[in-house]
Formats: sequence, C-alpha cells, structure tokens
Amino acid sequence: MMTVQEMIEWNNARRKTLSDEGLSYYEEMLVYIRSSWVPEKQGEELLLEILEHLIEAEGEGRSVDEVFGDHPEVFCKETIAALPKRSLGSWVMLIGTTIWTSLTWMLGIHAGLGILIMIVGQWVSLSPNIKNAISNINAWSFIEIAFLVFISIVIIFMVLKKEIVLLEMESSVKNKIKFSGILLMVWLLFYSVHQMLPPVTIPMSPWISGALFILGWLGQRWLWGRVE
Amino acid sequence: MSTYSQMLKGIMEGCILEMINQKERYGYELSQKLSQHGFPHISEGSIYPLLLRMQKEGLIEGSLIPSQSGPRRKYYRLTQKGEKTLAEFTHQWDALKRAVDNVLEPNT
Repeated sequence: MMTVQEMIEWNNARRKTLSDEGLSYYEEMLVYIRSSWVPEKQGEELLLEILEHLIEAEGEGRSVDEVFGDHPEVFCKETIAALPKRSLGSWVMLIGTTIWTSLTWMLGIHAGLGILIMIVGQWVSLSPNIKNAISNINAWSFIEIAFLVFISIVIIFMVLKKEIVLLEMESSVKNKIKFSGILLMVWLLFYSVHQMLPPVTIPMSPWISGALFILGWLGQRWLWGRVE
Repeated sequence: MSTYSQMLKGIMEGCILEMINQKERYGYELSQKLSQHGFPHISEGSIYPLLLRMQKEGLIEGSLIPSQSGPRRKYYRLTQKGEKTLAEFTHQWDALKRAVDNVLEPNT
C-alpha cells in the first residue's frame, strides 16, 4: 500500500506528462481537493486516480474539458461531497498529538540545554539567572505552547490550507511573503500575551525533563501512527 | 438534480456493480465501457463521485496497484454488500423493464 508521501511524489512526477491545458486544469483541481477537509489519504488517492485518467484520455486525443466538464470547481465540489469528512475524533487526535509532540520537544530542549550548561558549569562559573533557568520551567510555557499549537492548526486548516498547497506547488516570492506575514502576526500576538502573564515557575531539573522527554517521545511515536 | 439524471445515476450504479462483478476494473476502464455501451450525455469524470459514494456505502472497495513503470491504477472489487445490492438491482430492473415494455408495446 502506498503512503501519502509516495502518492504525492508519484503525482509530482506524473503530472508533468500532461499538456499545458491539462496541467493548468488539473492543478486547479489539485489545489481545491488538497485544501478541502477530506482525509489526506483519500484525497491523494483520488487525485492520482483522476490524473492517470486524464493522462490516458489525452493520450487518446481527448481534451480535459471533454473528460471533466468545463468547470473544475463544479467537478471538485461534487467529488468532495462524496468523500468522507474528517470526524471529530480525528480532529481531537490530530490536535492532541501535535500538542503532545510540541510539549515533548520543549522538555527535550530544556533537558538538552540544561545538561550542556551543567557540563560547561564544571569549568565556568554560571550566573544565578542561568542556574535558575536550567532548574525551573515557567509553567505558563506548557499552556502557551499548547495554545499556540492549537491556534496554528486552526489557522492552517481553516485559513491557510490553500496558501500552503500553493506554496508547496509554486514557491514564489509573493506566496512566501504572504505566508510568512501571517505566521509573524500570530507569533507577535502570542508574544504579547506571554509578556502580560506573570511567570509561574515549577522546579524541574534537566534530568527530569530528559526522562519526561523520552516518555513523551515514545508516546509521540505511538500517537502519530494513529492519526489519520 | 432532474428526475432523469437521478434515474440515470441509479441505473449507472447498477451497471457499474455488474461490470465490477465480471472482473476487477479501474475508473478509466469503467467510464470507457459505459460510453461503449451507449450511456448518453455523461462526462467521463462523473464516474468518480459515483465510485466514491459507492465506496462510502460499502458496496465496492478499491486498492491502488503500483507497477514498475506504468500508471498506478485503483482497481475496484465488489463487497458482500455490493453483491447483494447488485442482485436486488438486477431483480428490480427486470421487473421495471418488463413493465415499461408492456406499456410501450401493448400488442406484443
């Protein structure tokens, strides 16, 4: 069975064989389907199926309009309506797993930096601020990271999905600026909230962070295997 | 959607089930077969929403078969539910066809 990544790679290679007219029509369908809320695997399978259909039809001298009608959007709307939607459980799983992964890596970074600083501290005297930073974690960081991840997923899926698909297809300067601008605004909003909150520190040695990171990493591998 | 196109989709669904029942087939092949058999005014692409709906209803299932160099095609086969639906369609179609024939050709 092909993975989603293999299907995307195969699609990238195969669609180059289309005529200019066929390619522009097909890419319109591709953006529409990839930016919709259908499960990724089923969307990619469908895209591959209609791509092979189009290649075969063009090989026999038929144009894309004859195969899929005059309006790609009409075809896509009808097709997407027939595909299953992401279930609520699948959304919870996706958001939960992403938050879990982010927190795991936050602990990993705390552990890694902390242990490195402790090693350096054998030879260099450290300021109390640094010592404090490696033996405590600001509890707000967990909530902030979870919140930031949640907001990012919502923005990506609800607002930016089409921009991301376009960026993947055509990495133009205009697309990059637009995408970076939106992400920068989200980050500024997040940073302003962070500045307003009083720090709530909890003692956490880098070794405990490291142990939690290993547990989190094992959990993360298990969880990603179950996300649709 | 007009009554005609709704009826046509129902009949097309039955015919697709029968064609897949004969052997596993892929989308392009099915649309060509339908056209060869004289199904009128259907764009080739309209088979895909139909195939997706039939998969969602559990009548057929498909798998993408990779090959060394050629195209990767999604071949469809009937499920048990699909076989049952096909048997019902065949039975209902026979009855409907007889009834319509009786109306159109009352003296035969």
